[in-house]
Amino acid sequence: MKNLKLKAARAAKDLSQQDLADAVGVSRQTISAIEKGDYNPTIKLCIAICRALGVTLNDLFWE
Amino acid sequence: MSENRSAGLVLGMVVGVAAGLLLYAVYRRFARERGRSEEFDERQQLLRGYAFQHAFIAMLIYSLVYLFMELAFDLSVMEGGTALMIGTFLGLTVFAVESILRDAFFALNGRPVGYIILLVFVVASNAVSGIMRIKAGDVVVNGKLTSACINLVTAAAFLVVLIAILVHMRRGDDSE
Repeated sequence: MKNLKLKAARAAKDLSQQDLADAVGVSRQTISAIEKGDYNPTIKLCIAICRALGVTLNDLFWE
Repeated sequence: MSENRSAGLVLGMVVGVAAGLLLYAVYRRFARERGRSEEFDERQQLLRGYAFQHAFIAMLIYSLVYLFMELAFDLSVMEGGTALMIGTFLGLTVFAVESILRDAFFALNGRPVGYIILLVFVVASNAVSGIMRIKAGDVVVNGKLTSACINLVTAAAFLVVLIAILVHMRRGDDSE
């Protein structure tokens, strides 16, 4: 399932996929896969993404 | 196989492996000095695990088919060592192609260009050697594929990997 919240949060911070990937230490393709819903990140990566975007887990990864 | 040919083959293999190991050691030292390490993120590690699985299964199926052909039909088309070598290359190729197509082959700081240059060199040099072996009549002896086909197998395997990299690069960027 696509993660549009992540895409929106990233856009709100004016970050490209590569910028966010560099910030959390993963590849750009991994960020793309998460946004498309092709990959479910571990809780560790979820937390890292939330920290980088300044949001909570609820904001990005909970229905 | 004559003694001279056998000694030449062994020496060639030893030199080839040694050269490969030396190149790899130089590359790792060079990469470390530039601050590049071979790191894969969690998604890449997961996909590489699947690629290893599929490569193993491919090698298993190849071995079973070869064994079945030999035992059931007494059909032996290659020397034992040659069959083993081809199976190994099959596994390596399956792993590499799957990893490449799923963006899990190159590390976080990896750059395809260096790999492409290396692959072109390996394919070209092995293809030339392979053609020379064909002309010398060493590749098929008494209706069986011999270990002299190693250059051709190497060239074919690395060519498939090179094509996978180029296809993947051409498929382009799927970013926002």
